[in-house]
Amino acid sequence: MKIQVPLISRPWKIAVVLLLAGSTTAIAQDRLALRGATIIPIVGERIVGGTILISDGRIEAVGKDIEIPVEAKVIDATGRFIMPGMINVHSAAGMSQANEQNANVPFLSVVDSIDPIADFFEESRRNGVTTAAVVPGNSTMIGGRAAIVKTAGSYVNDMLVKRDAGIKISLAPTTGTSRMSHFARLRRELLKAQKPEEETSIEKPAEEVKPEGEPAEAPKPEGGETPETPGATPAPSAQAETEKATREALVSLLKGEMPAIIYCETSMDVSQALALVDEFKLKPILVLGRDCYKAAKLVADRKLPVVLDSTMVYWRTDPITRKEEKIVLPKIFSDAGASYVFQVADSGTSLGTHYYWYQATTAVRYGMSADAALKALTFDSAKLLGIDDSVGSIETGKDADLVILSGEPLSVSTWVETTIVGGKVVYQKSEDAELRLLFNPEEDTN
Amino acid sequence: MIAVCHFLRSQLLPLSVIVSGLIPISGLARAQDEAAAVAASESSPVTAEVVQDVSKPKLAIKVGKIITSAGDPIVNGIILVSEGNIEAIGTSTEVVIPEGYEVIDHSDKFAMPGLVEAHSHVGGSGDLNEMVYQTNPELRNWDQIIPHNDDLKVAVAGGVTTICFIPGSGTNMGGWGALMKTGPGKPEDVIIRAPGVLKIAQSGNPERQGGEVGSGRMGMNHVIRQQLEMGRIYVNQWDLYESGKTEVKPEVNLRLEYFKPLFRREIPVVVHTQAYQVVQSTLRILHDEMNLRVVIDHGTFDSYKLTEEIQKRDIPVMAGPRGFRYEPDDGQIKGIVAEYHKRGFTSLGVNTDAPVIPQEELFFQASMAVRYGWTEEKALRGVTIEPAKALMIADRVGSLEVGKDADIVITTGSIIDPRNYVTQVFIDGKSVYDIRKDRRRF
Amino acid sequence: MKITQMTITKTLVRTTLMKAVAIVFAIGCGSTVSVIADEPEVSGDKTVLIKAEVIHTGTGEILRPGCVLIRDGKIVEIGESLSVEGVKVVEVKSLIPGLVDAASRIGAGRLDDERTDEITPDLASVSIVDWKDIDFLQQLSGGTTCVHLTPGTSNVVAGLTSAVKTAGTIDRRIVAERTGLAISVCSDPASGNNARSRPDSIYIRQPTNRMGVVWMLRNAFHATQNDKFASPAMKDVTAGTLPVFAVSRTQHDIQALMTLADEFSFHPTLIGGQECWKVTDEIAERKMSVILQRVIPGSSRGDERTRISADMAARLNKSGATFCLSGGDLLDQMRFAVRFGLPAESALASITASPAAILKIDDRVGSIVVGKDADLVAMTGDPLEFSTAIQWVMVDGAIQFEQAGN
Repeated sequence: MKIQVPLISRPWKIAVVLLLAGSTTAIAQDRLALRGATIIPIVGERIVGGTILISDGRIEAVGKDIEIPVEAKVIDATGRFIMPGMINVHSAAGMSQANEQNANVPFLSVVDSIDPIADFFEESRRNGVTTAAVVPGNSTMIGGRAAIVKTAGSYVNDMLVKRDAGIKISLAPTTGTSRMSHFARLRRELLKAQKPEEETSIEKPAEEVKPEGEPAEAPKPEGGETPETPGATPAPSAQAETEKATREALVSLLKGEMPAIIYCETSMDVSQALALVDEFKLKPILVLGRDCYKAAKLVADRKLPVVLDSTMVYWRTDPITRKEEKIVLPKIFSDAGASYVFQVADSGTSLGTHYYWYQATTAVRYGMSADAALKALTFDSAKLLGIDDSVGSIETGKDADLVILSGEPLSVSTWVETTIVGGKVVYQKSEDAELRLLFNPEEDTN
Repeated sequence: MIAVCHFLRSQLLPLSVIVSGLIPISGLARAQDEAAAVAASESSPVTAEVVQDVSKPKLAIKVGKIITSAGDPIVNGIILVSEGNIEAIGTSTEVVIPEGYEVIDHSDKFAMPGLVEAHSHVGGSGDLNEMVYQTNPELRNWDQIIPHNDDLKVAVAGGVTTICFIPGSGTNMGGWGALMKTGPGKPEDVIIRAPGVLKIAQSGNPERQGGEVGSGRMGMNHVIRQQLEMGRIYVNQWDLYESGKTEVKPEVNLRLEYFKPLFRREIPVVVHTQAYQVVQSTLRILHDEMNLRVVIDHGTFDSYKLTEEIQKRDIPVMAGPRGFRYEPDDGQIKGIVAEYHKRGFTSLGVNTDAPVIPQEELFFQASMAVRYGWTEEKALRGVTIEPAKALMIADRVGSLEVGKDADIVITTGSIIDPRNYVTQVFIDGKSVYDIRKDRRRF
Repeated sequence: MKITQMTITKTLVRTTLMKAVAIVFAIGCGSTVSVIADEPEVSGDKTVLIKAEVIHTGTGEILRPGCVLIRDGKIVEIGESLSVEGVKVVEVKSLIPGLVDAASRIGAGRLDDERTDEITPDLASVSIVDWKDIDFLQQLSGGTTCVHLTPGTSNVVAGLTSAVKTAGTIDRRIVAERTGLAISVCSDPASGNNARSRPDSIYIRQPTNRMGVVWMLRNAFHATQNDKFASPAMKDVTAGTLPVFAVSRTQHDIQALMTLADEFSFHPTLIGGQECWKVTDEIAERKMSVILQRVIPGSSRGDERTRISADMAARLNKSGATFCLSGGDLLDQMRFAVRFGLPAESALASITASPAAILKIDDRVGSIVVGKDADLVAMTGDPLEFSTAIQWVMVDGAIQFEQAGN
């Protein structure tokens, strides 16, 4: 096996015409061609020495012997491997503060909290992750609306792939509550949303507070607040507004307009989640904590793909028998016949669980095929999020979200060399100053 | 022709340190370089062909106005630097620039000696106070020096080139500190002298300890006296032995070893002392009884009322970090330094107690003292030569004179005016900060 | 790969009141892995012939293919192809030496360091080993067959280090009772001590900060040299017959260690070394061996706010220093080291032959060489790749761990 020394100091063979440092917008590229690489489309056979033609941010053509238009800029990727950009299906790291204090806030949107210059996005580009579902945290009962964004851009609205990508529900009891009361409350909120509006509104009818006299309606001052002038119709209270918004969001969920992203902390939550799905006809995306392996058969039988915890291998002591055993999540779920995709840890707390390629190699180590692992990182993740029409594989018509790797995708010495989002180069290892400092801390002048 | 003067430094390395087997960290290596340099210059005359040694560059710095802290300022001056020292200094008519010297043009700037800080805790890791015992003569802090650390990088941008890095005042005797340069290098390169000083605190913070003798003023002075007495007896034994007056070789007591340079008056004790009664104790006990070289390293509140007694004993005062107080008698604001100055006291400087005041703001302590009534000229001396003298390293730093270390600070004007700033700093003749190349840090 | 033995699963119970009970069971779907046999079926006096497509001997030599003959728990013969009559044959893809973890705190049954004193040179780590501790099983499952037990850094002079096997019969598990003396030249011993505790607290004592740590070490060495401190371990250190292992991570701690080493004439091995990239010259000059503690890949900072260089192992390798990795997950640590620049040909040694040499136990472990213990790891492919799995782990000739479902 050829081991490649990290390529910091070697001159690049890639003749990149367009250079970008970091994350910001690039010079507009109408047409771009990536030439000479081994292309891994995920949905078909590899193409050795192939070409990808990109136009207007989309893949125009893929194959061998493709004619490159004269006006196209060319990236020579000879000897490299190109795969679709990877997809992060569940992360709260791209936003500031993942959890609200209030338990039931389905009307909130992560878009109001996403920070394009957060480290998360730079790390994503550095590691070849081109699309990310930013989802509210696991500590709120109904946490809000998730959004799917591309991992490059300086203004969140420009990064959006899907604004309302789901509503996050967490079955992990919030502090102070028990599972019983947490779940009961959740059901209550969903039931309320099922009923017609009048039955549930707390807003008192206007007649009860009509004063004497009928002056003209007071003019609204700037800011939208209606002052308490005598005789004016009282504005809806803040609480009522919240109620209304909550209801709207949940109704949308119950109608199936958005999936329910349900976090299950332990195995028992999985069956509860499935009960909720059945009762309220939800479209689920199940995010499983590491303890949920006991429910592998359950989800397999329901043919529901799941999102595995970032801790995929661990030792566990049975509390009653005191028996120790090694739990290997990908193996358990594969053996049960379930399908799954991976998560990464937010920050490095163990050796490699913050890297998608590491999670994939872990699965391969315990029996998954390399192809299946790569598919989990790309196409399966796209499908889970319902965006497989635009990302997740290298096919004509899809977004040009691509990763140029220095070698075989899951090999120990393979690094991301170039990350392309929407046909624009958004990351280049040769320009990565932070990575360079990691290897050359003596150069840090700060 | 240039008369190249070299001093053979008086070796401040206590012999006792070598005898006791302790590591001679103070400039032993440097002294050897010195000797070699002298030998070289005597054997082979300076030729026209001068090869630049990157580690010891040969420079000719043209300066608009040189504050020397050793006399009148020099207008339109030139400073020649070689072997890390000041080779020559004078007006452009007095000093001829030899061939091969790199000319640095600061003719629109001021130059002054690198600032000397008399009371700093930012020389390394923050382990300042080991507070289990009241007196800790076994502790030393130069094992945790981090040369050119983040704090010192900014300090350099404030013109500070030498600091007295000492343990804290959490106990009555915190341990031994080191005198060091603020620039980059290995610890042995940046240390000027270790042991550099003893740190004693005679009031304040140690009083918050409970449970043992020493929580009050009587107790702590007793404890200090007791510990010093043990040290004095120890040193006396060794003096007798080394001078041949007795054949009995004393036992080496690691805990008391560093008292040797202290009682031999080769290094000073810097004292955290402030307020009338406390400073009085400093004078009585440390100077009168123990005959030590003393530096009053705070001297704030109403300590200035003791100026006459301090002056009599020739003890320097490095005042700060407080700069003023409200006189209870008339409610008027009084500058601490100004009050000493008014009484004719001249061995006077300021300090920052960094990080209490950030190290780079040493100059600003002086500016504020001027605001309250000091003179600008004395203020410049008070951050350069006066602390150098107090710390007993004036043979090396504190002024721009031939033979001293080339620690030179280039500024846009007098550093007492806070609108001026530092543009370049040389330590031991090497540029360690240059806003034309490095990012401006202060 | 098939072997003819049944693997026995044991319940390992950690309460001190109950003894370990051997039961046989399986968890459905092969989800867990078979574990330690306390009384191995393949015991030491049996003979086994292992045939591998690739043998990484750990000496630099690679056999393709190769055979290893095991008898009485030792490696008795190695060759390209051996043929032995009437002997169990085990076929594997890839074979590497059992891994050696040069600085580990496992197996002490979660016992803490001795708290009544900061200077405890004669306390022996080997005397508190809980041979049934699950830590051993976890390390074994990662391919580690021998660990260097280092007392923690709560004490300034922590005690005697030892090297033990992670599995097997008790009589064979101690490789070396006394490999050296562990000292802490870092800030760790200072935490927990407080000058302001309750008057009856034992923690009102030095060191409460780094100055105290340095002093206590100087005092201990000085007192020993002057016959004031009658510690057998310290005596052996000052006599040069017992090695010193010093934990230092930051640049100033490493430099303080060097100052101490000069003052008291000892030649320590460094454990930690996160910032030794700042002092590679001195380390090379002194020929100091370095046992690197683990860091999080991709992170620029480590313990004690040390500044990390991602290619630390590669730098040490390039400078010619003797070094190794430590602290668990050795295979993955090695793979990350390769990813960050350690040449492939030097990689395996960093977790096998090098730690064995540093600990001076290379007469028994660290490489596949005739005469050494039969500590072997069978793998499904290239050990340097993350996706390669462990098939089984052999300690002293007995397979003590097997990954189910392969």
